[in-house]
Amino acid sequence: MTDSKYFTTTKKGEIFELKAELNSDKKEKKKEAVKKVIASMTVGKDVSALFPDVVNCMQTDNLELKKLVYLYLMNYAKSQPDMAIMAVNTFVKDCEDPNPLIRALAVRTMGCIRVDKITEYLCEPLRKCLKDEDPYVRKTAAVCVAKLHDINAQLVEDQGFLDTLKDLISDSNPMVVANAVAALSEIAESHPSSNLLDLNPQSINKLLTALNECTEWGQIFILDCLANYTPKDDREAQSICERVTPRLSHANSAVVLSAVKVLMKFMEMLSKDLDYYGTLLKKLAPPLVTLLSAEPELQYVALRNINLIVQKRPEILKHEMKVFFVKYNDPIYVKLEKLDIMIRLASQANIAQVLAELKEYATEVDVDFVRKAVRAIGRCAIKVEQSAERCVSTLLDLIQTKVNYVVQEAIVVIKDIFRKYPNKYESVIATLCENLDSLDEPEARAAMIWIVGEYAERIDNADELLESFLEGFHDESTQVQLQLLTAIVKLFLKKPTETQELVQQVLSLATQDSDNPDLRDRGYIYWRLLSTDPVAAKEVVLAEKPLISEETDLIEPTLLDELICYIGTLASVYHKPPSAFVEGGRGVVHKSLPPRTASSESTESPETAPAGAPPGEQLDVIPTQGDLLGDLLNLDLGPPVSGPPLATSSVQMGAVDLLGSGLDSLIGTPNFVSPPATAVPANLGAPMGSGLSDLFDLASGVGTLSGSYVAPKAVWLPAMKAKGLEISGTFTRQVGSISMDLQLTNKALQVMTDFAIQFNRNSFGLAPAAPLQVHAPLSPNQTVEISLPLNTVGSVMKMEPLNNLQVAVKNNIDVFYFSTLYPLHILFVEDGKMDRQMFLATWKDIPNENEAQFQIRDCPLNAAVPEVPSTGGVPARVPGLRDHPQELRPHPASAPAFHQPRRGAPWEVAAPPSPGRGRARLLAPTGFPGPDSRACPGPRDTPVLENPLFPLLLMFSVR
Amino acid sequence: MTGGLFIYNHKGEVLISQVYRDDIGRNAAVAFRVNVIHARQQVRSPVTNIARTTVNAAMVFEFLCKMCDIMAAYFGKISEENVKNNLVLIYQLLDEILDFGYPENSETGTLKTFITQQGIKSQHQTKKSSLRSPASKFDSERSISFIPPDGEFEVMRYGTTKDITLPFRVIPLVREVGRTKLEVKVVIKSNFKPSLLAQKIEVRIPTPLNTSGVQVICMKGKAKYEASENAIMWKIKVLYLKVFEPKLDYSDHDVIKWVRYIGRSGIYETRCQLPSGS
Repeated sequence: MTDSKYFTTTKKGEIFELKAELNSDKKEKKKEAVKKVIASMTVGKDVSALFPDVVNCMQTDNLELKKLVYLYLMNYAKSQPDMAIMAVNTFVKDCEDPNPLIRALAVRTMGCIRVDKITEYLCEPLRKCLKDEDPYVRKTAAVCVAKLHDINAQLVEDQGFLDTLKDLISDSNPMVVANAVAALSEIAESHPSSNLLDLNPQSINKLLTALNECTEWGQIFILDCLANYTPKDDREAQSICERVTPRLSHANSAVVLSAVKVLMKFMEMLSKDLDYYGTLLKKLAPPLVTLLSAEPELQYVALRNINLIVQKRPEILKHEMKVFFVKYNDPIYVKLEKLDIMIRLASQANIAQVLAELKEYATEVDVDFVRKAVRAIGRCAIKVEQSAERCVSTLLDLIQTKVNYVVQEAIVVIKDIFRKYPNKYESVIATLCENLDSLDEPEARAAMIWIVGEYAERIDNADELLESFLEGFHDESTQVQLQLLTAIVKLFLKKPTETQELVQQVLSLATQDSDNPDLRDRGYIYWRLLSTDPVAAKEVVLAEKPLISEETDLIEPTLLDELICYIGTLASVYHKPPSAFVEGGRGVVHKSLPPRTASSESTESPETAPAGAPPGEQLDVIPTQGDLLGDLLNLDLGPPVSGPPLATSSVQMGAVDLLGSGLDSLIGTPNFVSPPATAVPANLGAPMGSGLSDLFDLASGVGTLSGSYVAPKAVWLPAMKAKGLEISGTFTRQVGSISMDLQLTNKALQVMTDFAIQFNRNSFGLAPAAPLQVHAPLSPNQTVEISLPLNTVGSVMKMEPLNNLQVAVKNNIDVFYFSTLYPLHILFVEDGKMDRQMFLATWKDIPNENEAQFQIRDCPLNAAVPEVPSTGGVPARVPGLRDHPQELRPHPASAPAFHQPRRGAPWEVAAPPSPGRGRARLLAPTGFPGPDSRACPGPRDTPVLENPLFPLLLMFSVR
Repeated sequence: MTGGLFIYNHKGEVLISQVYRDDIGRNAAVAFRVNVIHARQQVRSPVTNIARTTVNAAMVFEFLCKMCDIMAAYFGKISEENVKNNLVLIYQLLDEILDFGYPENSETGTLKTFITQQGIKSQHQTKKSSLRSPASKFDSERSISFIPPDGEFEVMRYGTTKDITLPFRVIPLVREVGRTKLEVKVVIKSNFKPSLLAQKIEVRIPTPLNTSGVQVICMKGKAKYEASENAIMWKIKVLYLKVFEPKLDYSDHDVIKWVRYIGRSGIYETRCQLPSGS
């Protein structure tokens, strides 16, 4: 008997025919009819009209027919809720059937009918089934609780099903335990805070016992659940590991990966000195290797996970290079992943084999794969110094193939090799230059231009080569344009006599004819540098470049740790935390590895040490595509421009007649706002840099005066968002100077240097008064405290909320942005005292509608604070306070009432007649924040806003 | 957990659809059709993003493979025709092995005992897993002990990296004859003595993607060029590698115990060095 005939009935009146058949007396005919109905349903036909007729077939003792009817019900109950009620009685009856199969079937199906009305009737049968004598019924009922929870979570809680489910964890049947664990885990995901899966050593023991006896799927549920447990100490961790280890030899890849997850997590707690730790490491390799003989899709999941494991614990697979060699008929996605892992595992011991493989791969047909293979050869050269020469010659061989994309890829990696081993392989430049014309990809063009610029003194016709690129300057991509600009400037600095014309040409192309601000900025900077101080220019442009790192594409350690907790799941396949792709935040709980317990503290290097890179080693990240020039002069973010300009004047600039003609027009350029020549990055060590820092190094000179409120440091920029850089900070005001106290922590793998900070325009013109001075490079796990002096002379732009400050911080890795709210009191001047008459007069001057009141609560009076004598201070009564005539004293510590400009009043109400500090007239900044932005501004006199644009009169009174 | 399961034909039409969660609609089925079945270029990842939870990806793929095994065990080849013919059976199977997206007992042996018969007692379904830690002593003593369940089952898989003697030596000779012709000569030799026989030998000789035609001269077995696989498939019926186990020495002559051993060598690849300059 075949079912395919059901697919072919598309005649008219089909529904009518089916109806007749469904109501037939003959059982066989009925069954056939239901099958037809289900076939139609599957292909998307609407057979809901038959609902009552199908439901009528439900009362039968034929199990197959019953199953079919149930299947239909699950599909259509939602669109026919009233009809579905008709079925309830049969369900309830079936839940009492002597045959456990029927009981289970009924409770299973009822749970799948996602109709509110039905769920009420489901509760009683479910309660019985959860305590059924037959484990088959119990395990089905356990899943049913999860179904019901998905429909009506409140109902499940009210009915106490969660407790029953918890009890099932102690069930005698392992499959019941497994399903209870699965159901509870899923329910717990939607209640991250609840303590549903209250795991303790006793319940863990039960789970571990069930683990040995349940199905492969049950083992996965239990292992995934175990992975969420944090053992109380290393002993418990070890004992769990011992009992989980046998799962590594399971044939099911998912069981193996879930077991690996538990072990990887709990290993964190074990001391590395322990013998067991070494044993465990050895046991992890074979199962991971075995995963590669599974189906390709599973291999892919396994490889994505192995990629994480190799980054976290490179020692596990260091001898297993060969299994990652690609097979010619591997699907492309498996090939690419294997290649990734090969690069990570490459070492001096296996480099010969790896190179031979990579060379083979470079002759494959898939373009992406070939490119990756070529790139991998370059990575090997950088990673294993002994192999560099062989890698370069392999790359040259590949260039000889003249296959366009191979040549281009090879040139891109050769550029990196030049960076790593300067002045070693320049002999190949001639070969590279032969292929100049075939380069049509921006990255390859940019790389070639970089090479020409870098070695301009050794390439006789460097100027001709670069000039040839200049013809189509405006058609090039930004990457190429920027590189060309830098290369020609380098060339000029090396061969100034012959290339003056060329450099002028490129500078004018970059500054005058380009719409790209990056290009223009860089052009101007070079122009200024060259015209003011060619020696400094040389130091800047031809500066020694930092080393490049051996590893690329390493996942940032905090993210890596989180992903380790998600081994086997989609997160580990995407290499993204669940929060990045799970919609609506359901089930997004941030997971982290357990901390090492005190008893197992070892003195070894920190866990975050990257593959093959001992901590403290100087590393820099190879800029990713599109950031090729990051190492040269990444001036996207210089030091603040609002500080006093450097002592370079336009006179001086004019004096250099080299570029004089261009400069005149340059100074007049309207879009050039900042004072000239300030934009030298602090990190480049230009001679004026040190002087600058002395000038601005206010942080050390500021004495600490008690009183001014300082909020505790808050995390402004979490490491997750900033490639490992964590910034926390607060604002302080001490004797007239405002500062931003920063704490920078390096949670990444490599050393961070070249810090700079910049503020966006903000409501009060807050701006850094000095560059961000991080004197030494910030090594991994190091924290540095910096006090950044601020002033209020920056550009003004109203922010929402008013005290919002947007900050950009740059380091050698990237530019990061965050915003924070600063407390308003940092803007209040200390000498805000005013003559009584003047205060009154000022107060009166301010229109009533610009006044606002605010009650300060929870501001306890501190008896210890001496009252500041109000010598000629603030008036006792103030007209603005007609409704609340109160005594006013200039003592903020006892300040129950607080007046502020009314919200909503416009900014521009009036310009202050005399914009001096303290001589204030109340303006009304819209949306002025309430005193919650620092309730008790310390024992100062009536504070007045420092910024002359927005003076603010404040009054405090005592009730 | 699994939100839904669909079986498609090669055109991307849904043959079987089973949806467990509200967040999976029929549009999910469409997403798969558009992104995978009708994908313009080669699929770069077997994972297509319609997920909204952090489902255990390894488990999902393992389950799908298992599902294929089960279907194959019930009705042979998984073809569109067979799926349509066994529609109801597949729904019944799914009902049993995937409840609300949780994979349940999926051992074919166990399933077969009750999915074809009706109203059977429930003991079969809750039987504990048939094999208990088969590999516990394997590491130390190279021995495994287990209570065999009924029907077909897999005891263990193992891989070895030490002391491997490959069953065959493959000797390829590649010669370029002119600019458009390539001559490939493949010799296969067995290193074992003639008393050992190997069955179902298949040699795949990959050919360049742009191969226009192949002339096959085959001494033994059958060889055919498969354009769709970019390879020449060479099948040899019997060769000298068959494992006959020595008679097991049981003291009790009344009981006939027998075990059939079939060694499967799996797949291995022989690479040849192309002449330089090719």
